[in-house]
Amino acid sequence: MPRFIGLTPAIELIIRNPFTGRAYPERGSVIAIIDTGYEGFLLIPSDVFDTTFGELESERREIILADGRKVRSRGVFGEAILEPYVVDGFIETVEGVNEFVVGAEFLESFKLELDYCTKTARLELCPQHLLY
Amino acid sequence: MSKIVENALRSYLAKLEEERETKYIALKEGKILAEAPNLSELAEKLKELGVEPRGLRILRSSGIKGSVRGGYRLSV
Repeated sequence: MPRFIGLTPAIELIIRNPFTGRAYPERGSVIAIIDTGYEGFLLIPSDVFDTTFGELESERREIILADGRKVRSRGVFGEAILEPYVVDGFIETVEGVNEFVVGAEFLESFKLELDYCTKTARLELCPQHLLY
Repeated sequence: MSKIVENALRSYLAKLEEERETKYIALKEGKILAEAPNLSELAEKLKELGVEPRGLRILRSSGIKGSVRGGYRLSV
């Protein structure tokens, strides 16, 4: 479920490669920052990407940084698990990234409520996604 | 992958996109092995076929954007 870390909303999730069964982390979950300015699904550190998805053939694309520079990312389709939900999407990495970030493509499956008054957050799956 | 195979694949993905139903497709060495509406079912089909994950390429009928904004967290 989502929560605030200071003033930054975040969620706890597990990343999984359904084709090998490999998951990160192996126990517990990892904290991912919610950043609606990131248009992708999920950005993860390179070492986690290589360990979890190294066997699969990566796709490549361009990510535009806040200062206008462009960097190349590599990614594959994988699963983000937020009990009880499993969401499929494009999980990517860029060399030098050291945190987990969920973006707008991830959030499009959810209703996200952020209450900065009480520092609480809620996440619900959109009605059209309830079958999966 | 040859240009002919890549073009055939893109045509096939465009056809799936027209059907307005997301599908995931598994390929290896340019050959389509299986397709399913989600990754979990696709993985199950590949397991039944005895396909090794090494070298698998997974595509989605709706594709991915070629360029996206990285947001304020990404600074490399």
